[in-house]
Amino acid sequence: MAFAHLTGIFPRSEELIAATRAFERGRLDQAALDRLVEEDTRRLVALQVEHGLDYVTDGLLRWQDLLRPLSDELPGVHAGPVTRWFDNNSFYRRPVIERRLRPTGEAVLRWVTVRALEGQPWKAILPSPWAFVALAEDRAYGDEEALLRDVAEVLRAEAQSLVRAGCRYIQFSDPVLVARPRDGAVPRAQKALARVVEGLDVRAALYTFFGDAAPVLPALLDFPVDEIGFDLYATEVDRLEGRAREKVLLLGALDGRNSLLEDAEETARTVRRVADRLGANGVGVVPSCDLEFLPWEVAVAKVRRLAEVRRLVG
Amino acid sequence: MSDTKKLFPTQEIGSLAKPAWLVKGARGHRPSGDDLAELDHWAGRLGIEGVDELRHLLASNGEPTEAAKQAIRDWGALFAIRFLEAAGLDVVYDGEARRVEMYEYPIRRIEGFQFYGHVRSFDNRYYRKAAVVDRVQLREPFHLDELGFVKRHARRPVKIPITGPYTLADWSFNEYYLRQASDIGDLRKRNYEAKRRFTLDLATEVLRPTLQALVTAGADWIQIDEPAAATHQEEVPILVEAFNAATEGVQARISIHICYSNYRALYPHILSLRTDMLTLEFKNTGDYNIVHIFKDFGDQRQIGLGVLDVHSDVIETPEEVREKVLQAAEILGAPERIWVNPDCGLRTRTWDVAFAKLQNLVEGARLAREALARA
Repeated sequence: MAFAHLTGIFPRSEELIAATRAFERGRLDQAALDRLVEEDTRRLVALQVEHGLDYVTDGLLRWQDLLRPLSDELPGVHAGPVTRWFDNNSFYRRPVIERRLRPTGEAVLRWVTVRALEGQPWKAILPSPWAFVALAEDRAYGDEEALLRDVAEVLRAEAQSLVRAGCRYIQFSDPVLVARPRDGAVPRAQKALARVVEGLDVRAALYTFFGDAAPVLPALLDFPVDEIGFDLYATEVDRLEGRAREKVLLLGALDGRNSLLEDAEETARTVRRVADRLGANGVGVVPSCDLEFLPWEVAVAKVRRLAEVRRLVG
Repeated sequence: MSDTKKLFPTQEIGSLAKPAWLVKGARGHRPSGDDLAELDHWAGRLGIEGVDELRHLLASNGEPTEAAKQAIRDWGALFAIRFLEAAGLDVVYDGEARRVEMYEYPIRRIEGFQFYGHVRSFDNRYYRKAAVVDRVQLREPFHLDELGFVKRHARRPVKIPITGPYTLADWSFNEYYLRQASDIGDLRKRNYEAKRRFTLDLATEVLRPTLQALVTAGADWIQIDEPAAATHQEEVPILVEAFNAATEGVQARISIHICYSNYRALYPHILSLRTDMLTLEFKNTGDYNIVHIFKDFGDQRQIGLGVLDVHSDVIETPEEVREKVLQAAEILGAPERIWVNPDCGLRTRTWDVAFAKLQNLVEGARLAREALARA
């Protein structure tokens, strides 16, 4: 059984891009921009529904980067310097943690366009606690373990509020584990994520990208989530080891960083091959990462291709 | 040869902000009163004469002719040349006054690319990204006219910047070369090989003939900009192979500019990169100890030391610049190999801020020279 859905920030349409630029220049007010964001979100939701994606997202169209809702909303944290986003020609603002964190449970939900998702099985995306800590600048703790514990509590509260708002699936995004591997990282990341999802009534996934998952996959498969995913464009597939057992594998089979539309047949074959190799009963066909690295028009074509690949995988 | 004999010579790196009168004038829009006041202010400050002609061009009604737009761009380049000279730099250019930016400008002069739309750089900033959809082919060598203009008007030695093949490839979508490599089953290996073929074609079919044409047109120092150099550590061999292929047989001084990167990731491969100088950003990271890498690896080439944060309005003091230069000189143990420059182009700063920063850079280099002479 194959599933399909999106894994990250969707690009803004050319119209919305123009609007955000106008907003920056003071030629468009916040209310008008919000209206356009909601229109774009509704259009994106309709696209996902039309192509039968199993969970829909709001495309995170308001988010400036994966960490920004937390940087902007959490007391004692602010969006800091412009910093390269892994090996991309794009950047994020590094969260700067100035004071000890306390869970509010309201940061991310404010950035989700829930109105556009009502009536659909919708999915939310959060950074994993490990990723947030690794990508932030700590000026308050001086103790990574303590910071990781508190970030897990913060994310737990965020996840709970998303579930209360109707969210059915939460993906924890973690490029750090695979793109910036560190000795001892995996068990610490696992423990922190376990705290976030403990007792949570939602389908949960850990999705890794931008790096080779092969070295850590056997350990990732022990994470206490329902689904584990990785980026096939960054992973040495022939070195993958491990047994998926009851877990669904999310396979990043459509390149979110290149405009070339994949051959659907070949991609489906690759997905089946990897799923067989790891003994997966369920597989989710997903983009390798956020599609925001593509222009809107190309990303829409990738969504169509995603649905086609899912159909071929069966 | 555009070189100086003194210690710690100074150079600009890339683009300056384009004055509003230039942007609007080149688009056929009439500048505002404030824009013209800014023009007059800098014309006076830089001692540029004859700006009535420019004002006349800018005041024209209706869509200006291509010749008029070209004349406005010439004025823009002249202002930037005088700006850099007045700041006191030893080596200048035109602030890339004619270029949209460092990616789109060359890409539009190469066959094989197609622009699809915008992608985000960060926040609400975006750039237009092209896909290579056919084998790349140079339409005609570019930057020749601008080089000619700068050489005719500059009163200081000139260094021309040009975007390198690896960065052009890295910042593009790769469709054509990926299709050509479809016989490689592993997606990761396929991507690598396709990137290599794409970058090498850019090096040999686009950059090399352009560099050679620039030399024929009088360029004796070419700076190849490769800000993407260390983005993918595993691809540094592609960077080096393409850079060397592009510069093969090019009879000019060559420098490479890299910024906002993990420089350690470049070594040891970059030791075989055929360049006379590496100009790097240091101020942004604040880590001048990176200079140690050059010593550790026995890298004997010249270093362009970035001492100005181009993303901040804080004006570095001459004393701070002096200290950083002396610190680097001490680590390197070879002051004669150090040039002083901003981290990167100053295009995101106003001219007032950029000018103050550059003046302090020049003064800081002088103070460092003086300190070393006394020691």
